Amino acid sequence: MSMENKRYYLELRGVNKKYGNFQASRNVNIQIEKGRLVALLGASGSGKTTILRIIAGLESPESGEILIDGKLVNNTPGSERGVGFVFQSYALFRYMTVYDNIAFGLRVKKKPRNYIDDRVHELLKLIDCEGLEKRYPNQLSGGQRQRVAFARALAPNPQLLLLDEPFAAIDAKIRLELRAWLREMITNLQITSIFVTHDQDEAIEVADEIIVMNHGEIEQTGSPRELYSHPQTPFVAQFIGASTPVENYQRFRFFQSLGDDTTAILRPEFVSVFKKGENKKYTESAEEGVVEDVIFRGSNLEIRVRIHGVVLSGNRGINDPVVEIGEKVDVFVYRFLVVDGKKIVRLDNSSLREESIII
Amino acid sequence: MKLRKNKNIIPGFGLTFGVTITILSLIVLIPLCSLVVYSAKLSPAEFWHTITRERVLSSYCVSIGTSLVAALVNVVMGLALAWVLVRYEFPGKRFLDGIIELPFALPTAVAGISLTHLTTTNGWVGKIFYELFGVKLAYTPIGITIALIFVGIPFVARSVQPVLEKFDVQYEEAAVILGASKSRIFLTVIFPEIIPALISGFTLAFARGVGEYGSVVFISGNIPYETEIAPLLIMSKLQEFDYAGATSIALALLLLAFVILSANAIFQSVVSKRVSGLA
Repeated sequence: MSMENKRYYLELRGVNKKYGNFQASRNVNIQIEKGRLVALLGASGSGKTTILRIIAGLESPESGEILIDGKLVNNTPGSERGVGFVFQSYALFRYMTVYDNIAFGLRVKKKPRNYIDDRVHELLKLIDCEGLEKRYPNQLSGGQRQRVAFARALAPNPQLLLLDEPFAAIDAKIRLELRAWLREMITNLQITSIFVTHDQDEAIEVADEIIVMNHGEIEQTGSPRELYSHPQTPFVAQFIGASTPVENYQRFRFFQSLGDDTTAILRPEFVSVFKKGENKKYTESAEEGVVEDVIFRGSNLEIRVRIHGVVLSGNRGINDPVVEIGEKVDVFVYRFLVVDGKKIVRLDNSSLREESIII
Repeated sequence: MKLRKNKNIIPGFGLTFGVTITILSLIVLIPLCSLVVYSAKLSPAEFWHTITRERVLSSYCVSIGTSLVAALVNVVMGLALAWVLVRYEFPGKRFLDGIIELPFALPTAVAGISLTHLTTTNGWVGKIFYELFGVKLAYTPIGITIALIFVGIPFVARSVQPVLEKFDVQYEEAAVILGASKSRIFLTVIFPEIIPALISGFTLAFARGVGEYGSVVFISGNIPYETEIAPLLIMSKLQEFDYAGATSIALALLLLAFVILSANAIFQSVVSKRVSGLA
């Protein structure tokens, strides 16, 4: 029994939460190891924020257990669960200076004045906001506010940090910097963290582990790489990564059929587009398509090709020979993610196997 | 040329500004100027003598003292009232919300008469206080204060209510997770947010109290040096056709009101600068 009881820092068992008739969480099970950085990913209304609020003690579930560090905390107030919470709009106290905001949690806990002063200055240094302690929240930039909110949550040394859409209110360029900053910070502090996001790129880039939620249920949990290459449900396959749905994928050569009315999901990475005669290796197994559009994406080109009556997206490098709109090209599809009922089956191009035998 | 360059994209400035100035002049500025003109019929010495007579001075004291107490009581009661109306759901909430403005709608004399009726030593409420504590309500400064509380309560309740409604629970939740107690959250997180509205409500209630006449004359008993309010002195001067005397006292009241309202305006702009990040 004790063998299978692997020690998780946070565990949710069969958590259900309803708001009136709306089921916000349905039988949610989560296990998070100490020191992990986890993303709760889902569209708006998928119940991800509800889970965060339940962990923080801001909501109580109708049924289910919440365990932090092995202890059942269902009846423990949020302030005694050892959690820090960063709100989506930061909720910095407007009438308090940066210093007072960060010191708030320490003053509440009646820490000695010297300790508070040292801790606040330590945190100000950590968030790179030294010299801003006398400012009010409205005198800060968005990024600074976010970091102050982060410092305020960290001040009482929580063991678990919860962040609700931490980057939502920040403009695109600073968001990228802050993501990297936050990831580095949390990794250095070794604090178990969960952040909610609706942005798959953000989750993939920042998190060690992603929990994908949909309609109050967990669809799949795994590392970004796992979710990307081995999605288990149609929702995850479409939600993570770029995808084009393809019906009747059997029309493509070298793909066996898994049933009549199944659809497949195709990612741009699964598609190679070659100029005629450019590639020798796949000439035999490639099929002919017509270029419909070439879209400049900065670091690469997205080529939209019509083949077998569907338009697929594939990528080409900036330095590859130019393809023109209307040009006939060779298209090679490596793989489909086939939707089989509620499951996803990875279907590889069968010519790849044959060729590998020849080589 | 310069005007055209800086032309505001929001239309209608000329029209609305013109209407504003016209109305303000006709209804507010010109009558106020006439006050000054009337008072100017007296020499400075006469003016000073009129407004510093003992009876006038004590009427100011009564007016300001009772208004101050009433406004302070209203701050507490108005805050509680707004708090209850915003924070909780209970049967009859909408009704309660609706009757807050009643003191505005009611002719003040009606309020005065009914309050007097209640608080005389024979009245329902006055009787209890007189028999139990030996305290007379009507025809004392306490009675005046009661009338002024009645008249002033909507000011505080209605200025605090929208602020509380707009107040995001996230702030409270943030404080809860950091471990703050309820009283601490109220004092350090919520209270600073509503102080500007409270002060603004307080000043309005106070200013209204100083000038209030209708509801007070019946309940005050108008005993010179004791329960005679400044607006009543003005009325009696008018009845004696002493217009210059009446306007002099009024001018002094006007200055007082102006000082109170300006203090409030300055305070509000300091606070709003801090919050908007411009300070």
